[in-house]
This record gives sequence, structure tokens and C-alpha cells, in this order.
Amino acid sequence: MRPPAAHDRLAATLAREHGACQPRQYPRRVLTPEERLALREQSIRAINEGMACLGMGDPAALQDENGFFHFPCGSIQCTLGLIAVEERDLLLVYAPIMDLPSDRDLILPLYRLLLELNNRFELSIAKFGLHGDTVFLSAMRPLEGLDPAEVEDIVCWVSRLADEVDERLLSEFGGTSRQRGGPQRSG
Amino acid sequence: MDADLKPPVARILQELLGRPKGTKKMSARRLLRSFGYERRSQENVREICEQFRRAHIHVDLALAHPPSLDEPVTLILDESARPAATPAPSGPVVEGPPPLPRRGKLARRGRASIADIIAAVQEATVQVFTEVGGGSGVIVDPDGLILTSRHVVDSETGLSEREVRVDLWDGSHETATVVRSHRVLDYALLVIPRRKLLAVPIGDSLRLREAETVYVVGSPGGLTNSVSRGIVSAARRRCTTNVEYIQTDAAINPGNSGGPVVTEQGDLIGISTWTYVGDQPRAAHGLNFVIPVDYVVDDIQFLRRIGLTEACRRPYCRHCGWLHAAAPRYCECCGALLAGAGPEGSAP
Repeated sequence: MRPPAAHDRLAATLAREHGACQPRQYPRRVLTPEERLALREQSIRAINEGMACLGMGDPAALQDENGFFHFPCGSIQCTLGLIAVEERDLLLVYAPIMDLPSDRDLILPLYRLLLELNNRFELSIAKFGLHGDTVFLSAMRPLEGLDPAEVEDIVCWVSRLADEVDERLLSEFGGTSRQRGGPQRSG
Repeated sequence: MDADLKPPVARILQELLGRPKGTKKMSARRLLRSFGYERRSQENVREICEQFRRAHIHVDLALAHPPSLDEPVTLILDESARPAATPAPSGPVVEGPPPLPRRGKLARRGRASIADIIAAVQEATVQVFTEVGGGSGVIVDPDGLILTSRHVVDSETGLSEREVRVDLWDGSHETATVVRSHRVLDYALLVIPRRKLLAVPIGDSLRLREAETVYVVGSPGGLTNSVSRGIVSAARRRCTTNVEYIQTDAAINPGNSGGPVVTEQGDLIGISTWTYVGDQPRAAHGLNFVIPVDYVVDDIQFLRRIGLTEACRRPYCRHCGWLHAAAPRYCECCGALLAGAGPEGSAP
């Protein structure tokens, strides 16, 4: 029999200590297709205005065929776009930082550092993540109430943070722990 | 083989060639007498050693410094003196792993001209194909171990393939198993089920110096076994990370990746990895980078130690390229879920 997962054990503990209770349901009105479309159009206008405020010039020139914006910021390449998650549209800004190292003695410290950084308040809404074998920094926000100033703020925040942190991560974890001609470990 | 060898040396050479281990013991007195000397002197010993050196036979110091002339002297034939073995298309399995090719072997085996040396390197160069592309590779062990670039064996998702197709110099195809790779150093080691292949001897890239001539062999744009020549522009070039590359102006184009870069002696010093092309208004030329082979030597020796057949059987992490002794659910190196391990089940 499969041992209970961590969250099952946590739920069992909570139920034992606080009595059986249902998790609070936050009501969220499901948008009609027309409302959702209108919200998307409104958000796209806000994104275009926000990008123009950032001095990106013509936003259309930065867009790919999927409507994602790609723009450089220092040594990194930022991407901004709308994604749909469970019938809800979200604004996503992300910046790839580096590829995962291949050396065992570099990967574990990197994982730990990223988890510690994710717990820092300075990151605000941004977070580090792993997609495939790429470390990236990202931020997501629902489209409701999105305005150009907020788009500008999120883009600035993610791109500046990624540009600041990538040099440190690359210098420490981007290379190899191997020495040419020296003893090495194999697996 | 040198035609001016003295009769006793030629006779001993023939005898050693007929022996599997290529060794022979005889007393120093008998050896001296075969050359017509009754006593030992520095001049006699020097001349005998010189004769044997020309015949690629190593004479141990017992001839020069034995306590007595009746002490045995060991004669060892350098493997490079044996006639070049033609790679068999599918040769029988030999007992035990043959020794790694020695440095300078291609230059010493009588292939005096650079054209002959490069022809031998071309024989050991292969083409590697995946579903999304391909590149070149080089045989580094006669038992079928091939070195190429990691990005050559990567799939569309960036994960390393486990099996790729390899085309050999004779036009035959083999399915190769990826047994080790390194994403940052950008190399991968593959095994094909063939034996007695011609392998390129591994050189010492640490001793490489600027302005030395190097040759690049590969299949740029599918043009098989193309050769380009250049010099070492920088022997230890660091770019964004601490990885040291060999920078060269020898042309490297798409399709060259993973192909051998050799010295004038035919020794492998690295594999073609990447080219800096610059931005369009300020395009760069001749800035090509080679991953040095001495980053890989330890992995080659490790794979030979465990056996190439065993390496093919072991679980391999397609993310980080780690080869596992056991069959864990998660990679011991990067923590990725290993292929074949179900989300709920135990180890495969």
C-alpha cells in the first residue's frame, strides 16, 4: 500500500487537532465567454500601454505569432504574455536565468539556494522555478484590474531582478566543478 | 618498417610480432653476442638501444645496468610497430578490452604524411543522427566507444536521447546507446555494438600551445568527412563560465559538432563544440571553440572499467547525463524522475 503523501498526513493532523472542517471555498464568479474576451482585450491594451511606457517602442515589433512579447533586459531575455489556466487568464512574465549544471556537487547547493531565495520577501510576487532543465524567474497575476502601471511594474521587477541575479548564479553554478586533467568523479 | 635494421634486430622484431604480448626475455650476454660483441661498453649499449628504438622495441635498463651479463633483459614491442589493423565491419568479440590507443600512434605507425594521418582520423569519424538533427562523433575506444557533443544527442525538449543512429566510415549504420553526457561541458559518450574499430588516440590538450596547427574533421551540412585546418588561437579560453575551451580559427560549421579536432600527429585534443558568429552588423569570423578532451578522459576510463556492455544496461538520466549503478526512482545527481519509474510505483 502506498504511504500517505505529505499533504495527506498534514490534512490528517489538522483534522485531528482542529476537528473535521472543510477548506474554505473562495467564491469566484466564472466569466462568460463574452466577458472573458472583453477582459482579455482590455488587458492587452493595458499591456501595450505599459510596454510603451517602458520605452520598448512599437510593442507589435516585439511580439511573436502567439502574442508573446520578447525583449532583452541586460544580459537576459524577458518574455511576457497571457496564458489560460483552468478557464482563467493570467499575465505571465518570465526570464530564463541559466541551464541546470550537470555536476552533482553543484546541483544540490543550487536547489537549496533557489528555495531559500523563493522564501525571501524581497522577491515579492516573483519566484524561481525549473522548467525542463532551465532555471527561470517568473511572476503571474490574474487579469482582473490590470492597468498599464502594474504591467510596467511587474516587467521592471522581474527583468531587473533576473538581470541582477543571473551573474551571481552563473558564476557560481553555471560552469563545472571538474578540473582539466585532474581527478574527476563519474557516475 | 625501417629497412636498415641489423639482422639480429630484424629477427627479434619478427619474433615479437608473432607473440601476442609482444615481449621476450634473453640474457644480456646473448643479446650482446648476437650483435657480435663479447663485452659490454657504453658505446655498444647505445648502438644496440638505438637499433631497437628504430624497430619500435623497448629495451629495459637491465642491458645497461645489470649486476651480471647473465641477468635477463626484457624486450617489449611497441604496439605501434604492429601492422595497422583494418577495422572489421562486425568483428568477433575479443577477450578483454584492448589497450587505449597510444598518443602519437597514427604518426608513428608509418603514416608519415599528414594526409595519411587525417585519413586514419576520417576512418574513426562517424555521423550521429537523432530525430531532430545530427552531428559528428569520433571513436575513442576500439570496442565501440564514441565521443560526440551533448547537443547533438539532445531531443527537441532538451533531454538527451538514450539511443541514436550512427553512420560509420564504411557506410554501415549502428544504433548507439548514450551512456554518459554532460550538459555544461557539452559532451556525450555513446556505445555501439562493434569491436576492433580504429580509434583516434587521445592527446594531451593541457600541453597545447597557441599557434599549433590543428585539424577539424566532421560532416558540416552533411558533407561527410570534411577536413579543415587552423591554428590554436587560445589554448585556454574562458567565456561566461569557468569552462576552458580551446579557441581555434579552423572552420567549424553546423554538422561539425562532436567531430574530432586533432594535432598534426593525429592525437585527439577535443571535439568541435560551438562557433561565435556575432551580431549581424559586426559579424565574427574564425572564432570557433573546442571542448578539451581531458575533461572527458576520466569518464572514458570509468566506462572502460565497468565495461561498455554493462554501461548500456545501467539506468541513465536524460536530464543531467548521470549513469546509475542501481535503478533508483529519482536521479542521484539532479533529482529528476528517471525514465521508466512510474509516478506511484516503486523502482522499475
